[in-house]
Amino acid sequence: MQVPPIREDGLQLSEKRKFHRIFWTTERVAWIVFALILGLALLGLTGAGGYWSRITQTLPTGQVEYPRVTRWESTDEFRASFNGGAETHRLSLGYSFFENFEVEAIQPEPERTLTLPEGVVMEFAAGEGAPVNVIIHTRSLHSGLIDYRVALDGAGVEASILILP
Amino acid sequence: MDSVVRGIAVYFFLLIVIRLSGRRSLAEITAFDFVLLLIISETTQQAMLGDDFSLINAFLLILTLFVTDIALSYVKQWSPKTAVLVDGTPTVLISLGKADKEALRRTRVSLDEVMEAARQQHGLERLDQIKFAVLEIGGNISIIPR
Repeated sequence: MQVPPIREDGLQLSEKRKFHRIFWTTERVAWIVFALILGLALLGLTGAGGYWSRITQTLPTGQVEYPRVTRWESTDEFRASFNGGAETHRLSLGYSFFENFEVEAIQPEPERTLTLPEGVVMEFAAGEGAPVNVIIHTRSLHSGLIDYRVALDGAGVEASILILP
Repeated sequence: MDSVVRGIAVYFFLLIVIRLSGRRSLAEITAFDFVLLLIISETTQQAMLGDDFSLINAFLLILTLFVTDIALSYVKQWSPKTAVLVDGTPTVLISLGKADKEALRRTRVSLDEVMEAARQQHGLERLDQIKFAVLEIGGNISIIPR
């Protein structure tokens, strides 16, 4: 047990003014960091909406849109848009997608689902060759950086999603 | 395991944020501070519990928070440097009747607040009746009259 020293003004108190000065400066730096974190959140870099929260990749056969950053146990959307002109469209997703995301719903429901060595393939019927837009509602299961392959009618691309804890 | 990790993470996150936001932030509960406190507690509860509303999860979290707090109190006892870092030390705002402008400015305490404490604690009427004013670790201002 340390007894506080008696100061020159007679007050028995351990003030540590040098520590206070360093701490006051640290406090102000921390406030700037807090503001920067909020700025990043507003830009969408912490998930759940914002200008940079989603990535859109264009393929010869359509477009895929998915979150750049999402949060553990939160819900999100994966979107795939197929170009028109075919009666059937095939969406292929690598297995790591399903290991890290629980699929809560798929709109529209796939006609057929196949399990292939490269991943899960979902087939969607397109009436009169109309374009098809697929929305997969997901809930993330683990945190970390997830890499997986997505393909629309055979044209594939590597995708990454950061799941924050 | 998840509940324990969540509990410890939230405990230390709150400790760091509240410490770095300045000790005046939650010291005096004004109407707005009360609202802030309610929002923080609600947000914290959701972050700790997640989707698991079971009794076991709640019991584990309560135990985690208490054990972490007890462990930290022991660490502070063993290491005075940690105690200073976590709790800080009192700041003298007025010494022998002279206001320390740097301390007042950087702790964001106004002379009005010092006078309020002087009136409440000792019924003092003027600033020159104060010998010492100290911003304590808990955020309250203690007054020693002349």
